[in-house]
Amino acid sequence: MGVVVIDAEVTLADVLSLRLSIAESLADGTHLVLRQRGTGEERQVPLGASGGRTRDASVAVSLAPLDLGPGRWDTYLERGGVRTRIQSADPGFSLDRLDAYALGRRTLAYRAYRTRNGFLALKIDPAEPVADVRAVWFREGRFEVTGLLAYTGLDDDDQHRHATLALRHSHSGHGDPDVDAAVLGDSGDNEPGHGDPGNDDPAATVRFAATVQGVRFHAALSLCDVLAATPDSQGSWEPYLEVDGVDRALPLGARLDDVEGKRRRVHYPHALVDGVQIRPSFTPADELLLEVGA
Amino acid sequence: MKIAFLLPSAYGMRGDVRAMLNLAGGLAARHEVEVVSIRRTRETPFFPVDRRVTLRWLVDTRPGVHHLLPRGQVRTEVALWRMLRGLQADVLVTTRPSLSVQAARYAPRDVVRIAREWSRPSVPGPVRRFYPRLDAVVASTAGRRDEWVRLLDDDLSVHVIPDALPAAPWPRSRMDNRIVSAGGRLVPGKSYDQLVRAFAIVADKRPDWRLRLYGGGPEERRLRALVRDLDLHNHVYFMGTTPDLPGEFAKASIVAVPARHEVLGMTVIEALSCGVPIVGFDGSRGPAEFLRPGHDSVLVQEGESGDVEPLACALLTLVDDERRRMKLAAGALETASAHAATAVAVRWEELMYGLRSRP
Repeated sequence: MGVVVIDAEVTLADVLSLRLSIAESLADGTHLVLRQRGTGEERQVPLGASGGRTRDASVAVSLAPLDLGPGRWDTYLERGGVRTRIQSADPGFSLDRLDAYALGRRTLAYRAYRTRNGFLALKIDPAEPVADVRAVWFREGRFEVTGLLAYTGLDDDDQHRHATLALRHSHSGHGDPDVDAAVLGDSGDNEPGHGDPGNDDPAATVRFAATVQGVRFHAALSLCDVLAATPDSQGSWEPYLEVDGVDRALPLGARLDDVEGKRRRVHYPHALVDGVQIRPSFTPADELLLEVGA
Repeated sequence: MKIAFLLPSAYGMRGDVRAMLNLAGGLAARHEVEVVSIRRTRETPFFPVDRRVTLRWLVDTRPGVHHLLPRGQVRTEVALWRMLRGLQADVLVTTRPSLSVQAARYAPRDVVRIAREWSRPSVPGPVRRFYPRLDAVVASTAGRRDEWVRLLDDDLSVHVIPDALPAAPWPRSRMDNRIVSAGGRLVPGKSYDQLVRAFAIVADKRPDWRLRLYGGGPEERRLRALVRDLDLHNHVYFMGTTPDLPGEFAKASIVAVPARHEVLGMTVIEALSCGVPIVGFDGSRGPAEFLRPGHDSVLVQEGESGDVEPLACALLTLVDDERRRMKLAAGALETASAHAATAVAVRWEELMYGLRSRP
């Protein structure tokens, strides 16, 4: 039973829509099996019989009721106890559709994709509101970043919203966690005067105005201010965005594409301010980081 | 029929390795196929090997592996000589002039010996002397065949069979991502710097397009510095090596081949199989040999003022003309069908049966 997916897509309503090319038509009792990699957990979805002697079959499966956990799920077609892994000829997504998918507010983001061995699989990630970085650059002593707000539920309607870009000391990052914690403590005790005095978060010491129009954002921050707020000119900052109408701060990341491991694949240039190097980079979790004096 | 393939290393990331493993997989459906790798450089082969194919190696050169005897050329040559002397196969296919010369000298005479060639030999002396003992030379393109006919002065025993793609289904591009891809080893001969410079012009005019470079190599550092100098860090991604290049090409809308001397062209064929049009340079030793310009690709002439601008113009024209892109994509699939593993395997089979039935 050779099965090849010609067209695979998770629609905006979280429906897995497949167009299958099959050697023989789907009979009653055929199941679509989803199997989680690692745990071996399975879900079975009965499929209706395809009419006539067709070589093509379309399948639409609503994913939300299946209660699939985050992770990667392999797909199989099972009939009469015989299980066939579904091959795929389709990359499974287009980048524009991923952007459209991220407009809605979601808790889980589903994505169909083709594995390196050529099989169809599903990738499920927890989806929290995030500011997806599309471009960064240094210009006239400032660091600028632009991108797209994802999973916020905001409309792409060109409406201006009040927004702030804040920097928070990274404590989950790359350096020694003890050192980071010490730096965090120092900045809280010794330098309470930086930035917005009304801010409750002692770690967020630098704040800049940002522009949000619809779901697009742009922010520029002065490198001199960043350097002045960095104790001993050494440390890492995690930028995040606060937008009116969104109840939580949005971390800056880059996850709305198929490129994983941006720390290795995307190298941003650095700027020198008073002889100190400031370099944007990504964490292993693909979140943006501003490294000072690294 | 028992068929043996002899490769310098079946473990590496090279177009010729990929092509031979694909062919071995295509022939394994009806024959007993063995791939002999002279060296074993990694734990597992970089490219997937069909499970019906037997893979063995002669010398283990993985880092950290200790040997009783010192490693070196003599050790490898003795291992090769022993393997050829004791070879039990009906057909032996060798994939480098140096290996083919050894096969001509030492392999048993009842074995049909075929040399697979992609380029001219760097040392023609031994080739002229020992190749007449071989049963056939198989070149990858018509241009290469003519060179070998001239070199050996033998029109009858030099054949042309194209490289093989893996078994279907091949991934298919939807042509809706604004991505230009390029893949291969990042070495100076492949002119990726020209592509990056050309893409700077494209990104200036169409900033929503991205360039993805697949592969690794000694040029990577220099290319990253070039990307930094041209301020292209938001547009050029260094994607690293992947054993599934077609799967990655299928996410793109254009594949660029900046190499002027594309000897193997495996990446070109793989891009065609995904239904992605190619942009490259025209030239006698370039990718033109595998392509039908105007039907599946756009090839530019080298300009007087430099090669960057013509390449950028070709990329921009294709970026702006979606209809033409779709038309070329359809043509690309048509060209790729001649490289399907089954079709190529049948041509090799015909040749092997013909040679075996000779008195």
